[in-house]
Amino acid sequence: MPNILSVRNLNYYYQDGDTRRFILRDVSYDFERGRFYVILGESGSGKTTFLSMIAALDTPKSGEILFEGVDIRRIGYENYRRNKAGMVFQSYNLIPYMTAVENVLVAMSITQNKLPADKKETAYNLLQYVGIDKAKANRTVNKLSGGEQQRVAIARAVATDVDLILADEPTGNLDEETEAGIVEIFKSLAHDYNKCVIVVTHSSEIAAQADEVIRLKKGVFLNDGQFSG
Amino acid sequence: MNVFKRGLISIVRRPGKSAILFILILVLSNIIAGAISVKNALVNTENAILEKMGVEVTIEYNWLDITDATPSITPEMVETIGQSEYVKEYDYSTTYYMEARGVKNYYSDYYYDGNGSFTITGGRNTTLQDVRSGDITIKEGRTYTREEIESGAPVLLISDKVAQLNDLSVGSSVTFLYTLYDYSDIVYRKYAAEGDFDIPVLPIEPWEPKVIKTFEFEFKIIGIFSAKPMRYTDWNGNIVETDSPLLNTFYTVNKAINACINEIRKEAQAAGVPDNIYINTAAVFILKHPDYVELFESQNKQHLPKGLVFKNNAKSFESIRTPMANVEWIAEIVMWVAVGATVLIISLLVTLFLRDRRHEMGIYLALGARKGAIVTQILTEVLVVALIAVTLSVFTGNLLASNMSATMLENQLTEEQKNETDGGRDVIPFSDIGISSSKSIGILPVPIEEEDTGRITTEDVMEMYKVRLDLKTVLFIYLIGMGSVLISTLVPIIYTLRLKPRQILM
Repeated sequence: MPNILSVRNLNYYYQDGDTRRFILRDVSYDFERGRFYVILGESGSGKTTFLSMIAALDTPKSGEILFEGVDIRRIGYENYRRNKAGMVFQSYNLIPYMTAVENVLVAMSITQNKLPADKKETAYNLLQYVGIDKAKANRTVNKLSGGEQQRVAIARAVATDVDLILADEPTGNLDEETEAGIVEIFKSLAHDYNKCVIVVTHSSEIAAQADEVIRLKKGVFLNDGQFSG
Repeated sequence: MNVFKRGLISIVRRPGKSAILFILILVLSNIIAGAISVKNALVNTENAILEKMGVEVTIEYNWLDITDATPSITPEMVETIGQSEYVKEYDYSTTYYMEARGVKNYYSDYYYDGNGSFTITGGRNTTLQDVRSGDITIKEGRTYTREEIESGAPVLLISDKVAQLNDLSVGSSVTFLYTLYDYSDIVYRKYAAEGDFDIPVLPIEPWEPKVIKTFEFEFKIIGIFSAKPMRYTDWNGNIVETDSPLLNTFYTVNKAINACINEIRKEAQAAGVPDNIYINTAAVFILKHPDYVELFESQNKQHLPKGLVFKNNAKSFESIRTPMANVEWIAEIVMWVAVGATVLIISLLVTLFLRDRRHEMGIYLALGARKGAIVTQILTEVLVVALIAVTLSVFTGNLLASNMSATMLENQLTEEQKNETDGGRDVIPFSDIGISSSKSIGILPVPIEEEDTGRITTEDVMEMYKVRLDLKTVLFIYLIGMGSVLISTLVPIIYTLRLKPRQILM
């Protein structure tokens, strides 16, 4: 299966006087559609930085990120975020004064991907898929629970019809039961909808359900691809 | 869901913050709108005074300089001087005094001739000088046309008081009478006076002079005017209001008067008797600006014969301009301080609000929204609120400015007036503005303090001072108000949007 995303010799560091403090050092990896990846690492290992690079929320110091073989710099970071990748954050990052369905509609109005004509109905369907019924979909998001907000965030990420879903500690603020529900959605997106789902976490429970686990330690991938607990 | 809809949702769903922003912009734009309104009102008032009263230069007699024959103000002289580049418009009027058959004089407060004789004042402009100065107002009918001026048509404007008293109206005719006498046969009794002179006192006989001819000149009434009463301060400091001396003045065109006089003179010449006609000509030049007075006078004094001098009212105009300039200066300072304060305060407020919205902007950036779209959304939110606030402030600011500035200007004018009086002047300071040509020629009976009556008073200025909403003012308020809000919003937005999404969100 062709790679949807490839990173080549990715470096990220902070300049501290004459010395460079590396967060990511020479990281390379290939990601495929239809798979659920977990990047596992301790705090400060560089996993969020890595996700920021492949989500084009920040730019690497050196190296390449290729989306379907094209450098995302050529695609354009803004364009890439708009049309190629969907992002789920630990703190949900929803617009607080808008309803759940409006949050989804905002993303749909920004993307240039071709979407169904009835965007509102599509947004309701997506929210239904992630477990938010119509009544809740019409509530402002600050009236929803953390788990529900995260489901809305996932719906927003997939609403733009992108093939790459990136999630940063998506269950970090949620209880175990809710976490399980969220993970199920990610697995479904990867396996039923052929998306490439990359989740950054330090949770071994989530890692246990991944198709592929990449360990990150001090900015270096220790990628055996297998989770060993 | 486009950016404008997102902006409107933000306004509606965050009513507290929208209200704070609204109130703040309303207060600041009220100050700006008020200052702009005051400034424009002052400029308009100054222009109105210039327009209505004008800066007048008249030609007067300098009796100390007249030793031989009294020089005449001729139409040719006036026409030549009137061509000066400093002159906005000019006028001259020929005035004569004739009896109107069957027409009684109006008994005014201080003047009643009772013999049915009237002052006939001519003009050369379609706008009467006394109308322009506000001394009279056309009540019915019209003034004379250019064609009537050129042809010397015998048309007449009379006062409403005289019209009412004599049952005259527009379309009625008035016949002026002039009897040319031959006095050569009358022998006077002569008394020996002290010294070497014999003074004729009473005729011996015949008692009546011989009538050569009685002329009848028929004029048609085309307009009726009302004359503004005059107010002045008497010696006791009381404000006294009297009838205008113009009530018994008839207005016509110069050429019509000249035609009558020429006919009389021709007859007198044929009969070999003196005509005894002494006409008065008054000239007034309205300058384009008070600053041109000196230039105008030095340029044109060569055209005046010995005994005639220019007299202007520019100095008295300064008495009005100074307090107005003071208030205008204050308004200008207030406006720019308010603009600065608006930019600063709105910037700080938007920066404060954007701290809350910073995360939201990061979300939009993470979703791939264009920076321009984010700027548009935030600007929509702020500018919609600002538009409502500024629109409201156009009216409220105007209302506030109207009351406050009027008091301020009145105080300044009163202070200026007091200063001038304290400075040794015993007359109202706004000395000559508004004295009409017919009043300045000196043939009318003059009340004790006639000089005062033609002047602009504080009340006159205040009457003219109106803080109005004209298109220019409204546009300027929107430009300054919305411009200040725009700049103060753009700066913090651009400051935030220069960050990468990760710096905002993670």
